[in-house]
Order: sequence, then structure tokens, then C-alpha cells
Amino acid sequence: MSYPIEDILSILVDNIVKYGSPFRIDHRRLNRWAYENNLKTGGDTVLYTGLLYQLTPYIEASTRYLAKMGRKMGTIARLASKLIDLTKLLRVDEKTVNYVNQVLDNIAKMVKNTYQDIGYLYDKEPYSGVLLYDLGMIRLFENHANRVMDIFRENGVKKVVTIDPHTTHIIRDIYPKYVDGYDLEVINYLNLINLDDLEPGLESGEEYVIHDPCIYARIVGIIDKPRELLEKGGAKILEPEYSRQMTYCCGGPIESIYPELSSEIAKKRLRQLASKSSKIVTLCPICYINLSRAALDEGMGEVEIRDLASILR
Amino acid sequence: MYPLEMEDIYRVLEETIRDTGVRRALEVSSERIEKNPMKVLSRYPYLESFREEVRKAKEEVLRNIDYYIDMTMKSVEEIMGTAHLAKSRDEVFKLVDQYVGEPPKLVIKSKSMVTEEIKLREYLERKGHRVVETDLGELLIQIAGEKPMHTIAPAVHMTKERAVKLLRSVGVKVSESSTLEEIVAQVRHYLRNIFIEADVGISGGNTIAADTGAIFLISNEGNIRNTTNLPPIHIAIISIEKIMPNMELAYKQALLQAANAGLYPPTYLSIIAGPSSTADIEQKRIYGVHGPGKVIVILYDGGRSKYLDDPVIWEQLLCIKCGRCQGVCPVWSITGNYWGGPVYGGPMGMGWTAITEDERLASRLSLFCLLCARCTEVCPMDIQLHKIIHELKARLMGRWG
Repeated sequence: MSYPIEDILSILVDNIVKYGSPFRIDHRRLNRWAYENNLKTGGDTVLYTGLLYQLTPYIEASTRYLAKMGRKMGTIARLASKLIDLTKLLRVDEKTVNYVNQVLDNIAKMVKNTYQDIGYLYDKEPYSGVLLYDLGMIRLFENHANRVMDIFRENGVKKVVTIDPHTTHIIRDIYPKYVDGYDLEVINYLNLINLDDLEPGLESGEEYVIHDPCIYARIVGIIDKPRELLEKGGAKILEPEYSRQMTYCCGGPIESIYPELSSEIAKKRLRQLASKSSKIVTLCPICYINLSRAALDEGMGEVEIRDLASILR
Repeated sequence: MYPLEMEDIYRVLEETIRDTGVRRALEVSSERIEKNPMKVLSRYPYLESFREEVRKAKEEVLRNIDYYIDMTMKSVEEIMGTAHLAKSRDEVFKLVDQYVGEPPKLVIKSKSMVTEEIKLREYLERKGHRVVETDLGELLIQIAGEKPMHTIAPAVHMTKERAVKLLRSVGVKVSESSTLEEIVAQVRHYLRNIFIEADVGISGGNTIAADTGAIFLISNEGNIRNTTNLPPIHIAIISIEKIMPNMELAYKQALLQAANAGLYPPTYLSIIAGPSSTADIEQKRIYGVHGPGKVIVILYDGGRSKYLDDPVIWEQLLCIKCGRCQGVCPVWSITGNYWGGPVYGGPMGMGWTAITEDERLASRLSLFCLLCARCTEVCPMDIQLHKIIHELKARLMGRWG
């Protein structure tokens, strides 16, 4: 087989260099939640999404596209990256767009309980560059990280509230090694939410199996808080076979390197989770995409995967 | 020639993903490799306290490697063994030739990753010797002409049907209807005379104590005891990073390795300090009684000292090769060591492939890592395996753009 790895990576990387993120985000549609919550523009403390949730519909659509085009992708990708913006070839699913807006809307509301005048950068919101770092593209990552920090500085940002594991880790633990005079304060939204602010939003005793994201559980150190939040929300939490520090990867990180292997890992994790409950709760958009696709591939229509933030009120 | 290009790596991985037999076997074994150590460690909690002690001792040895190599060699000579330091595989071959002598000889081997690295079995066979692997898994690998799938369990990917086919091809009397018990009994029968008649036994070493020159060897099948005890000559080839400062720490390292491989207590832990001897008649010491009269220790560098000063990859040299990182790795549980270089695979295999084979190959393989850090989470030496792998990615992709 010849998997067109260089072409695939070229597109993603070219987009990050040209547009700041792996796919060109339609900010109007994917920042609806921020307008609706009247978040102010910029400011001392901002909600920093790193665009990872907003990328969900594009990643989903591009994977469908790749699967359809198969091995021909190499040539198409090369042409596409030269001539047109690949994002335009993708048919983004409106349902996913709505889902992302709902998750982000809930997060914004919960964060506002603590920081009433939290800001957001809207169409200036930068991608964190996590893909560049994970692929080992250090030179590009360093440039990108410094660009992101410039955007923060230009907008007077001193503190960011992050909402996913990858962005939290990269901007909190990795940026300091590559950005001179790094002085950003980073706090994850899960650590911010006060249990007393939550309303039980679930039917009492509803059972959910929890999927810890690798980066939260093993690197960032967020394990108990999501459980406390879920319980406060009224859920009964089921632990899968591999959970907490030994949680199992959803396969997502090698999606661009080898989709087939990535999908085998996703299916394996899905089976572990689904053997406990058909209701699965995740805390990371990458896990959400991968497990959802695995459910589709396996014909497991009964499985319902939701982000923690879509459950809490 | 082992595949070095991305295209070859994809081809090997794709074949593995589609091979349902291999997939099934790896599924079962990775679960076992994940769960068994947890059971052992919770039942014998004192093992936990060995970890820091052993890591510190290994760091001390790596920082002063020349001093400890020297001490080890002197200690081996003091107990009437013979010690050598070999920088390269050719130097090992020369030394082994010297002790094995003119072909054809019957050479038996216990499983050893270092001899896999240098392809010693193949070398001796080319010279006209008959070489027999005595670990059952490794014997299967030898017959199949493959590479070991796991450091401790080399044939984890093989089904019973395949094992029967392979064993039959060398004359072991087994059939498709044989039970596992019958297969093992026939292998015992097949190897019995080979053990007795062998001219030389070659082993690796789980560790060696610098203060005494004693070699530590763990086994469950009992083959290592036969291999190192029955032939008149025993050659142990041990890589330099396996040196421990003293007997106590060597013992702790050996136990820690066994426990993290999920095999605890190890059925056999041999401590071999020089040739066998007796002074029962007239108090005059005679060497070579029931065990070997000659014990030769070859300390092997094989690229390791080059990485002592590497700011990231040096940590791989702390590895005690328990293979626990492999069983817990989501990629390895699907690919086994097919995700790896010619000898080492899985998480620990990325660093080891860089050190002992080729850094560029290791870097290409590293691209398939999820960076999920399950490996780092379980490593008894607290090696930041995912950071080593990320560094390898960066050495290949760092200048992209």
C-alpha cells in the first residue's frame, strides 16, 4: 500500500501556516454560542477553545472524504492543496455544527458563573498548534506558538480558561519551552466549575460509562472532577475496564498518519466502553469524533456518545 | 534487509492488521501482559519500593560506565571466569569463535535479546555449527525464521496450529490433534539429548553484579538452567547497561523485571558466579565438575555508549526489558513487534531501535505512536517513553516546512 502520508500532512500543515488551523473554520457558524452568550471581545481573562471543538465537523467530514477517495487521495490532495482550499470540498454536517455549538454554549454558561465578564477572541481565536507538536514539527510549532502568544498579548489576554485536554496540556506545559517571556495563566474549565452551581440536568440515576481522555488522566491530572460533576448532575457513573490513569486511547492521535490503525484502536476502546453501557460520556472532541465513527463503522446504532459539557447544566 | 522506508512500514502494518490469527493471539496476550503484573504488584507490595532504588543504581552505573565495566570484569576474573568487553558485533563474533572452536559444534542458546541484536544464531549457523534455541517460544521463532514478538514471550502472536506445523517441520512428534500438554512433552523429549550433547551453551543475562561478577538469569521453563549448566562451556553475552553495582541491587532488579513481566515469583532465578568446581579430594580445586569448567562473560556495547550523553534517549538505557509497556500499548496490541525494527518493537522498541540499529528507522516508526503515555504510566523504571518517542518524531520531522 502506499498511503499518501506526505500529501495528507502537507495539506494540514499548509493550512495551519496559511490560515492558522488545519481546516478553515467558519467562525460565523461555529462561534454562534459566543455571540449568544454576549461574551466580550478579548480582555484580561478569555475562554480559550484552541478551536479543537470547532474543528470537529471538519475532521468528521474530511475522514468521510478520505474514506471515499481512498488511495486516489494523494493526487487529489496535491492538486487541491495547490489550487483550491480543501475545506471547500468538505460537506460539513449541520447536526455536528449544532452539537458543537451546544457543547460550547454550556461550557460558556458554566464558566460565566465564575467569571461574569469572561472574554473570547471570536474570529481571531487561534488554533493551539497541537498537531504540529505531536507530529514533531518543532520549527513550525515554535513559530505557531509565538504567533498565538502575540495574538494573546495584542488583545490584552493574561489568563485563559481552556476546555479540552490537548489544548490545556500544550499551552500550559509545552508553550513555556518555546515562547520567550511566557507568562500566561492557564486554568482548565473543569477545575473552575463549582459543584454548587450545577443543577441536576439528568434523569436521576441515569447510567453513563466514562471515558477519560489520556491527556487529562495521565498528563494534566484531571480524573476525579468530571466524576464529581457527573454525579452532581444526577448520573450514575460506570467505570470501563480500563479507566482513570490506565484509560485507553481512542486512536485519534494517529488519524492523519494511519486511519485504518487509528480506527482499529477506536473500535477496541468502543467495545470496552459499550460493554458497560450504551451511554458513553467523553471530555475531549477528538475522543468524541473517533468513538462516534467507530460506533457507526461497527453498526452500533444504540450507542450514544456525549460530551460531559452537553450533559451538565 | 529490513524495511526502512515508510512504504515498507505501512505494508508490514497493513498485513498485520488483516491477519486475524495474529490479531487474535495479540489480543489475548496483550491483555495478559497488562493484567498479570498488576496482580503480582498488588500482592507483593514490597516490589514497589525496589523501583526507585534500582533506577538510582542504574543511573549511577550509566554515569560511571567505564568504572563499572572495569569492576565487573575484574570481579569475573576473580571468580575464575573470563571477561571481555566487545564494542561491536564483529568483536563478539571473534570472541565466540575463539571459545566455540572449529565447526561443526552443537551450540544451545537461551533466549537473549542481545544475541538477537547481533544475529549470533545466524552467524554461527553460517559458520557451520548447529544452533538450537531452547526457549520454546524462541525455538518457534527460530524455525519460522521470524523475529521475537515480545521480549519475554517471543511467540505471543502464534496460534497452536501454527506452532504444531513449525515443530513438525524439525521432527518434533506432534500433530494437529495434540494437546498443549502433549506438545510440551514432545518438545521436552526433542531437546533432552540436545541439552546433554551440546558443546557450548550461550545465554544472555538479566543483570550482572559488578562487585562479584555474578550473572543473574530468570527462567520459567528451566531451559536456562540446562543451557548454562550442562555443556562444558558457558558464554554469557550481556549488554553493558545491565550491570548493577552489587549483588543486592542485581537481585532486586531481577525480581523487579520478573514481576513486571507478570511472572512472579520466577520459577528459577540462577545466580552464576564462575565455573563449577570441587576441592573434595586433597583440597585441590578442580574446575568443571557437573557444570561448565569455563564461564565466559562478554560485555557488549553495541551502540549504547554513544547514547549515554543523549539529552533524551539516554533514559532508554535504564530499561530492564520487562516488556510491560508493550502489553499496555494500544498500537502494539494490534501490531505486536511488527511495529518495530529488526529486533525491538512497541514503545520500548522505538528507543532501543534508535540505539542498537538506526535512529532514522526508529523515527519513522515513532510516527505511529499515539503519545497516549500508557507505556510511561506502567514503566517500572519511570522512563518517559512517550517523550523519547516524541523526540524521535521531532528528529525526523523537526525541520518540516
